[in-house]
Amino acid sequence: MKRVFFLIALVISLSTYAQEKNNSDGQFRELYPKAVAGDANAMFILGKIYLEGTSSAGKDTGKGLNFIQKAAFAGNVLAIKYLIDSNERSGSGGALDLCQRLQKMGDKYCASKMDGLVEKSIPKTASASSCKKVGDLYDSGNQGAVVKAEVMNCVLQGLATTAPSEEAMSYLRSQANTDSKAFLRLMPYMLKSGSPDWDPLYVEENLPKVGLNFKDPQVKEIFAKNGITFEGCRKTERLRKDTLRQRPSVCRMAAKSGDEEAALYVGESYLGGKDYFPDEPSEASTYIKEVLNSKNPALASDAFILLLDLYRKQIKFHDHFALVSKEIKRNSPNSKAALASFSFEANYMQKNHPSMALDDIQSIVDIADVNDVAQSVKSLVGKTIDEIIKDRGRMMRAVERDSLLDYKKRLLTQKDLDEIEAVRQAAMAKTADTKVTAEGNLPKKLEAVAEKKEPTLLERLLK
Amino acid sequence: MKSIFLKLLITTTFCLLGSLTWAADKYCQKSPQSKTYDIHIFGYTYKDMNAKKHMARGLSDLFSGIAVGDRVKVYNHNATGYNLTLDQCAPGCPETSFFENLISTSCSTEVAKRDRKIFNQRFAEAAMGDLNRNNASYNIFKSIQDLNDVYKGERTNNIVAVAISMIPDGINPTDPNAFNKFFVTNVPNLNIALQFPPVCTIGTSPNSEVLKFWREVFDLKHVKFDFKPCNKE
Repeated sequence: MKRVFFLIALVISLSTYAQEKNNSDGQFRELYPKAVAGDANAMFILGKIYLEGTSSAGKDTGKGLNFIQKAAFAGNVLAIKYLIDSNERSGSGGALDLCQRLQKMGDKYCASKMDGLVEKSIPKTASASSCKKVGDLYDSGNQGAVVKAEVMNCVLQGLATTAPSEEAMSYLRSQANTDSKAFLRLMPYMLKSGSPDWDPLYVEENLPKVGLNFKDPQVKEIFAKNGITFEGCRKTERLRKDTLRQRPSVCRMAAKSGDEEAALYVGESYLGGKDYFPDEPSEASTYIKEVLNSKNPALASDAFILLLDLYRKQIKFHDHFALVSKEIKRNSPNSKAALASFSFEANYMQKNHPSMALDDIQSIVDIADVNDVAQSVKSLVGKTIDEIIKDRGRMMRAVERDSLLDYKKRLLTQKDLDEIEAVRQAAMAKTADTKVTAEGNLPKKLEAVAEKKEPTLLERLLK
Repeated sequence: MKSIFLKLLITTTFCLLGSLTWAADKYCQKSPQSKTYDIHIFGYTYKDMNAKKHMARGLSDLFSGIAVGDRVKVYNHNATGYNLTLDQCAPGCPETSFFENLISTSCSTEVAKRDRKIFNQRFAEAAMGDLNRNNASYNIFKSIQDLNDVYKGERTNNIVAVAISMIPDGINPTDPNAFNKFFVTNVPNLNIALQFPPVCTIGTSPNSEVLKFWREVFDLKHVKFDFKPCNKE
């Protein structure tokens, strides 16, 4: 008996399941003729049945959307809302138009969506039609930030008369303080040469504050269109009163956006404090470094030389030496300039070797041994080695000392050696003179011996 | 000898065929009272035995109403098309007065009786010839389209009687869910163009679900088809 009940229950539940699975068939059948006859509500529900696949017809997105679109076209509010949501999700256009339609019908469904939809739907470049569209939205009460910004932008471009242009500019400026998109919209007015709002300095100071970067593609595009280039910098008069502060800003922005010629010019100007740029070596270094790795060899070389000058001026031994040794070791096109500049290291070592690390000393000596280093520089380094050994004495290991002495032999010429010898002799004579002063005129005799010294073989050959 | 026999056989066959044709036409009357019946039989749409009997009874009722001299055309429809299996006027001598009968020599009552018998038999054979005996499947929409295609929208004064079950294949006529499903899966994709002359039906399922279904379909297709049974005026 229990089994029979169980079977009956099973059959009932299975048939219920089967009915539930296709429970929209009856509704479908009832609605289909109405939908075909143009009943918008029937079309919407039928569309959803197709989309959700709850009838025996199965899931058919094409038919479903077709019915819902027809329902929306016939003014069915639910269908319009459905399409708005669907368009929003997929990111496709059309939602804005539907929202406008819904608003005209007095429905507030889109009130909170309007700004987002405008942002997605309105093209980046304002046109007469896009301005008309946002103007209509604005007039119909949609005065959210995005819509208002678009309208004001249209006013400033002369594509709408919804508000006075002064109000539009003031609004845009206030928005641009915190909103990067508004700032981007404001930029062309502030950078356009000859415009009453021309103020490149304002742009330069505030652009990073709103989270933008000078190298952002959108920023660069606006710069290119408004002469924020080296050409623009070059053309702006240096001595005119009203451009004294603005011109450096134009040049700096061009440099910051990646214009290498501008960067080199700005760096050089900061280095010497010219063209109303202050004398600020640290600023100069920032700009010059930008060009150091330029693909344009001439610019890169100029930057290299400027940077070496800068480091020399600032007595930045380590920076200078790092740059010089790198270029010499890799034998780059800049190596000649580096070699020419190596005297800075030699002189620095001569004056500062007691405070220098032995590693740095050895590195300088290594480079001094390179063939293309001028003999005068080699001699200077070689002569300094003696002083270093004398100064550091037993603190140096024998290997280090021998290495330096070996270098000394390689770096010094016979003439250098003779000079050193002469100096040594002179020093000795002085010592002896001091000793013998008490004993007689021996120093004078020694001087005579020194003067009569035979020239070396090398000197004789050179003569 | 053989060739003489063959010639005789051919001659006899032609004479017989000629007399049959003559016999088929000789009872036709051109009076305004005489009618022409177009009887369309979709025997393959009947699977249920009761329905078959119902149809046979309907045809029998229709047949009993056919008067002497009325023309009867039986169209036997099948899955691939149709055959005109009978096209004949109902045999019988017209009713005349006793004296007219004595004078008239054109209609022999005896011959007419014999021809009527043959006619009845041929009608029965034509009517029952294509019944669905092996449970073959069919497409009811195609049947309706086939009926439509016989007339191709032309008007006719004939009495058009259609013996068709109107039940979609495999559907239990008492199950509304089955009709719902059939509707959902077939009607939206249905592509038929119908323009019928007025028709009456024989042996059509009287089930309300069947009638409801077809009313909906015909309304959708803007077709006038009122399911008037042939045996009711």
